[in-house]
Amino acid sequence: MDYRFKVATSMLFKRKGSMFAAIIAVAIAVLVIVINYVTFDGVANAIIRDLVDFRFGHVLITDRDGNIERPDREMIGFLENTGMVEGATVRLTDSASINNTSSAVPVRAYGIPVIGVLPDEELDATRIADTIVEGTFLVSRHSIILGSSVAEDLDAGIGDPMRLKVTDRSGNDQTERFTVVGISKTAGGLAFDTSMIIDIETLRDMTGRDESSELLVRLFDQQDSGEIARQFSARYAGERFKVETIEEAGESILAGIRSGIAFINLVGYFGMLSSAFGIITIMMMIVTSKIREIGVMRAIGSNKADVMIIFVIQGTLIGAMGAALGFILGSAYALYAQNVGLSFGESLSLAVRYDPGFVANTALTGLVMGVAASLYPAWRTTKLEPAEATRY
Amino acid sequence: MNPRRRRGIRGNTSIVESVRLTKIYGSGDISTVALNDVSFEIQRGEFVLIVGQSGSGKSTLLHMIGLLDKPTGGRILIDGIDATFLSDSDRSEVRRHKIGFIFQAFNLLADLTVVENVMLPMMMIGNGASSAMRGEAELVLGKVGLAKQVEKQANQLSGGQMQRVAVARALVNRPALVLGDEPTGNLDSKSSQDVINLMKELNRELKQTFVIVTHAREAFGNVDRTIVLKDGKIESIE
Ligand SMILES: Nc1ncnc2c1ncn2[C@@H]1O[C@H](COP(=O)(O)OP(=O)(O)OP(=O)(O)O)[C@@H](O)[C@H]1O
Ligand SMILES: [Mg+2]
Repeated sequence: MDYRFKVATSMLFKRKGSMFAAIIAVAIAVLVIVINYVTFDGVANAIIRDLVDFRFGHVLITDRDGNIERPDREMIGFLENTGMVEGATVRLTDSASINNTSSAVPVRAYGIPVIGVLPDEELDATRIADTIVEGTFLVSRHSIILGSSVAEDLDAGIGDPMRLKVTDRSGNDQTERFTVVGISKTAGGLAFDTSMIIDIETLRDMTGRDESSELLVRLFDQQDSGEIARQFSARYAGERFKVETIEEAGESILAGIRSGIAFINLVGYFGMLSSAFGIITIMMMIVTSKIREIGVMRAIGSNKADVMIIFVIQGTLIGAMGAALGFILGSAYALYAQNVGLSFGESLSLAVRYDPGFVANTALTGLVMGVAASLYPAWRTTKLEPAEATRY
Repeated sequence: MNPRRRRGIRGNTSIVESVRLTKIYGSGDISTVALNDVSFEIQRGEFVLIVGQSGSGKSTLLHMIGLLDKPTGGRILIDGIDATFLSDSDRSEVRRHKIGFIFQAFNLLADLTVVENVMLPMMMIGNGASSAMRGEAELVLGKVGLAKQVEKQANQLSGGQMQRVAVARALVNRPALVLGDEPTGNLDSKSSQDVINLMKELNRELKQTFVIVTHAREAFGNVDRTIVLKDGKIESIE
């Protein structure tokens, strides 16, 4: 065995307390970064998941000039014939005033988004049914589903009679009566908590607009979204459709999350920096307590580089063991978060993917940090004069 | 430069040659002239003592001979090699191959075992299997009477035992030159005499050169030469 390795390991392993402290400093630095990443990546994935499930589908088609005027059946039929589509549906969105007529003193709410849906297609193309926490999905042309916040504001429950008022295309108010059949609510509130859902045909009749605001496409495999977007654009090349995959459609929402992730990672790397200072301190303590022995080694024939290497080996061992421990702890946390479906209280349940590559890269950074932290203490040994060190 | 290469060519040179060696510590008002124009030669196989009052420059001279420190002026030659312009790592290599050191105290690496301490100089040169090195180290430890302590941790020995380990380590590579700075200074008279006898015996048997700084020259009995230093100068060579 190389004597430098022998001396390095003996020095390190005889100081178990310091060694474990340094190893744990590295491991914790790795773990903190992994926890940050897993959490924020899980939030981002959860947001994408909810956007796909409730708002955009995998591919979202809108019209650059306003609303889509093509017949629903034709577009949905085309998409479903590709074989890649699990479901496709259209929605028409408007704004309405609503009046709970069950109580003696009517409770009103204004400017509430109302979403008209195709009930059968909606159930294939989205996960809207999963958001119904009370009651059922739409059962007739005059049933309405209230978002939980809207229901709360209106003090409304299942079976309550409602009057909905919209403005039609000629600018006149149109009113219809509805019965509450369901309450919609999601953790995180990304779905319909603040809106209302009715049959699209009823909304079209009320507004006099035989149109759709958007066309949502759900795929069997998200990987096909680019292909579907291409085929749809080709089929309707003459129209002014805007075809976006979920990544494109969700970009503005995710941009904020992404910069949040970048920032929190920065915080994690500062944590790593402070662990590095911990290691430097511990290694400086070892160097200081070894001045005499370093002089003896120099006298026996080690050169400056040999002595430096002895301390760099120690830093490398600390880094390697800390990285290994960090990898194990980080993986354990990520796997736990992935399998348990981490969520914070009432909010969004995170969609965590265990990414061994990321954990390994972070652990590698920990290893590099251990090596880097040993460089200064190692370099300091070269400033020791052997003649000084061996004076009694 | 490879210091090993010179051995064959200049086998008949002095093992140590000091030419007008001067060492000044510090500068200006606070400078100390520790060595002042010191010239001498030591031949192979000699047993030489360096004596003198405290502060006379003994340790400084030994550090110069051992290439642990650089002189302010003059030259030092080890086995014919002029160390004046050697790089730090070449000086280390000369030490590794030609010189063994014994200090007054704290010679050992506390984290290693006794036998590992003795193996260290061999491991530094690094030829031979580790089992062969271990065997050799145990042999030398047997010679200094520590056969039973080989696996002990270095810091679990008594002072006298530690010094004997240091002697074993200084000798294990059979260096041409063994330097000791008060190697018995911290020992009781019995242990001290044991270590001295050991060194003299090895000097006789193996013809290694010993240069020993001491305050107790009487304990060494007859030696080849004694260099007496006073205020950084050679007062006499006896
Ligand atoms: N690093 C240093 N800086 C300044 N002066 C020094 C240094 N080392 C030694 N000296 C001075 O050089 C002189 C010689 O010191 P040296 O250690 O060689 O003496 P010595 O003969 O070994 O003494 P002792 O018997 O006490 O060990 C002394 O005056 C000492 O104070
Ligand atoms: Mg001295």
